[in-house]
Amino acid sequence: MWTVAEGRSHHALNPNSWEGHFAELRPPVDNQLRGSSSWKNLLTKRDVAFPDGWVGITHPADSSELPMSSLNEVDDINSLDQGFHERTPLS
Amino acid sequence: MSRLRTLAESRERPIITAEFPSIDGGNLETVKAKLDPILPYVDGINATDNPAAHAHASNVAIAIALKTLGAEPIMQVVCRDKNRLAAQADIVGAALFGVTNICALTGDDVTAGDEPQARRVFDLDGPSLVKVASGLGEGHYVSGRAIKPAPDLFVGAVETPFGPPQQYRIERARIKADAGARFLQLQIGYQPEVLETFIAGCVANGVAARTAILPSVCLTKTARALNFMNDSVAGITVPPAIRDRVSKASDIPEESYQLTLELARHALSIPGVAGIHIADFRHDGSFARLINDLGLDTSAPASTAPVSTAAVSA
Repeated sequence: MWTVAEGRSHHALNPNSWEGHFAELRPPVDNQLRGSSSWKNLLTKRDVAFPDGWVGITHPADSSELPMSSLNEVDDINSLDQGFHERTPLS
Repeated sequence: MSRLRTLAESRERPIITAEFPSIDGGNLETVKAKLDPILPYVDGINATDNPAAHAHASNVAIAIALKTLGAEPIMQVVCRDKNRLAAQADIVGAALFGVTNICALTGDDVTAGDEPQARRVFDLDGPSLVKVASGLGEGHYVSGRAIKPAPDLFVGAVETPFGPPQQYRIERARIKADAGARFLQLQIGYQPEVLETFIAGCVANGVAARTAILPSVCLTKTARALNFMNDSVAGITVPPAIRDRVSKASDIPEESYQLTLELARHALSIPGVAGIHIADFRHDGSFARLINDLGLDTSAPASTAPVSTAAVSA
């Protein structure tokens, strides 16, 4: 399917911008956006809010502010939001 | 600085890398037994990450074992099995042990393996993992949180010149180079003319100048192996004429070897190629024979003993 889409991106009826998308480095998917409105995210530019490290911004690391241990455990993994790419039941 | 990086930047002689066999049990002696036959002939060895979607000893464990045993590992990291947290942790953790060559790839789908029921992750894809790994080398996680000191990473990727759409593969190589890939190991191929087109494209778009391109060859000794790759491995086409040449030979193992030698000589003769990546499925001493027949010498430090590519193209 992907190769078909790539082939059709060169078709004369497609806008040139579609063709260009195949040459872009795609940023990591923001899984927090799952379930939200694509149109709203487009208009508010929330969909192009990338992690700082992705755009080359570095924060000073203050280890005293980072949690040093993690003893929490989720009781029921089915209560968690499922993966962005995978919509099948967890069990 | 890693030997791979030194050679990739200086191009003083062809780079030789190899695929390390998967390990499923044993101990360091098990790893050493598989490493010893190829160690004298390579500049870097791939520690694979669940290749073809089959579970094996982990990429991190094998990379550290290879480092411990005196080899220079190239740690593959695939996107199929781990999210961005785990991938970053593996890379930064392995770097603590001196594993600094990272090869980022998307990875085969779980349906290619023997546990197709497994959940896919693909939180990142190959090109984005290249950029994430490059960021770690620059001193920050994806979040932007600083890493001090930054690991001295040398990041690369893989590309498949032989899979459709072939023209897009050149563009994809450019995307990975832009993301920070400084070496590109190519899929095994039996179509020299396709490889030439791909390399020419990478020379034209500038990728070959900033990224060491390493075509791959595979040491086999049966016609069945070629048929298997043609039928079952994504991105590999073995033309019927080549399969017939091997299957109808009076000495099939020798004809298989000669085929690999010809492909390796051809690959190294293409302007823009920085070296060769070798997968050995024979395990009969042919690896050393191939290196000798190609006229390559990896015994000297990377900064000395230059070997001309002209010598190997004869």
